[in-house]
Amino acid sequence: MHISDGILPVPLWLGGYGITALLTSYSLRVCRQGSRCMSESSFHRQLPKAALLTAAFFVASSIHLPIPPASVHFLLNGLVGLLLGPLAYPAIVVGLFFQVVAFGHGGLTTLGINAAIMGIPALLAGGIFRVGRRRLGTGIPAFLAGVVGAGLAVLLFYGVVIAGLSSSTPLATEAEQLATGTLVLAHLPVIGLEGLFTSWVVLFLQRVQPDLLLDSWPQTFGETPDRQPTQVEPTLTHSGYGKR
Amino acid sequence: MEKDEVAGSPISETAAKTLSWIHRWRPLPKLLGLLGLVVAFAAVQRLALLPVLGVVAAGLWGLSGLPWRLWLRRLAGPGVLVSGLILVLPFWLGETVLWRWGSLAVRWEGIAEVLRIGIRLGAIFTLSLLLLETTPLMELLAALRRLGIPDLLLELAWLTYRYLQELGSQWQQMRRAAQLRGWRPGESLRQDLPFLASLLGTLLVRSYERSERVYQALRLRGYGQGAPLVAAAGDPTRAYASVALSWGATGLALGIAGLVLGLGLV
Repeated sequence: MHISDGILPVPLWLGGYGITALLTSYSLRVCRQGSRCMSESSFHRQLPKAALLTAAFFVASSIHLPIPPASVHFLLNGLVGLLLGPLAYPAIVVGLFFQVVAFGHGGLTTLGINAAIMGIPALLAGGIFRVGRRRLGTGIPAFLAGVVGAGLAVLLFYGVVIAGLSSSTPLATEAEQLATGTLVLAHLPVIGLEGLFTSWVVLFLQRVQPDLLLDSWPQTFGETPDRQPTQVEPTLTHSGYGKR
Repeated sequence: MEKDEVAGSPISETAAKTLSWIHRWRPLPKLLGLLGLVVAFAAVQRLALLPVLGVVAAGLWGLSGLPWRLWLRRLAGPGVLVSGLILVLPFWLGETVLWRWGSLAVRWEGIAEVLRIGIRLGAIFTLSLLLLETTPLMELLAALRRLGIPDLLLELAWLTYRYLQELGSQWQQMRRAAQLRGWRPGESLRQDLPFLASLLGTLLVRSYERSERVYQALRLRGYGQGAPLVAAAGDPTRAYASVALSWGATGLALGIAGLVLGLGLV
């Protein structure tokens, strides 16, 4: 789900950098302003947390699932959004940069547009989880956040690629419709699985370390968490469900 | 995933082994020069100019002394992703049909686009790899800081990089332990998914707890008191000749970039 160098016309990837610059500076400003309402240290505390979670997500992006006829991997941008709040966008920029460094996925020119494709849905997913959690509990909003994060990223990805290819040369209409329809349909099961996976991870975190779900958005925006969660030691049983 | 894949740190290893002129090119001028070339290459539309891109990129790679097999190995990442596009574009793009077989038609515009994408990708990929392989990450971040990238973003990148390998090893350990306890990955999606979710949840919890300790350790070293984690790189050796040569090379690279940009936009 990363656009490589050389595919997009210059205005499109430059525009991607413009969007990323705006959203990154906005995210960082929101975090700083939010922290002023609490204390300066709470903001600095967020940074190592965001860095280590970014590293963890980078590592987890290696999870491949054998879904015929190929194997797929999760995007996890919805999960990043709901755990990191506004810091999700800069975290995604950094994560994608290391994807370029380590695997050559994506590219230096397309870093901005790839960050926008993954980061905008992540911010939206974070907002959905935050609002939905007040009314629907944890599981359903987490599922929705996962579905919206992955679904919107897929749509943006193919939208940008097709816009890039058709900017210089007209596409054969029937072929374009067929390809777009097939690609989006092919991703529907994966998007559903991403939602399920996100909700399972979030439910696990709620049982084991609820602080992780509470302190990114409220502290960032200067709100006070309505309850102090009880910390429970993580356990991984034979079946791996972490039940107490 | 293999351990060295997680590390994402081929940079320092290769840089330590060979010290070509490209390695000694100062980080900031190198960043500016290579990025100028990347931007110019990405803008090229004219087919006749594409071989120039290949020659410049290959020449710089040759100067660096880096092995070609490294280039081939790393090309596998973007190559696999783009090869699908390259396979369908001749049948999908454009209106000038060169050859038709039943409902399949090969179009000239599609072939031209494949050439543009393939050669631009190869050249930009080579320059990016050159930059990343010959510049230690810390120096690269310091150069980015001098270009005005916010400290917070650079600190985030530095801290992420610092813990990537450790978390990668931890993830491998957790998977191995689970396999020793009887987990067979790939056997059943219904069992794999909840299990992998809890595995990732555990990794996130450990990372979160670790981040608290990292924060305390950073505080003890003065973090949050105004001093940035990623400082701008100075020039301790004050080697004026090296600095002048570096900026000269950057001027040359930007000159080539301007020429390519001027000729290639048609």
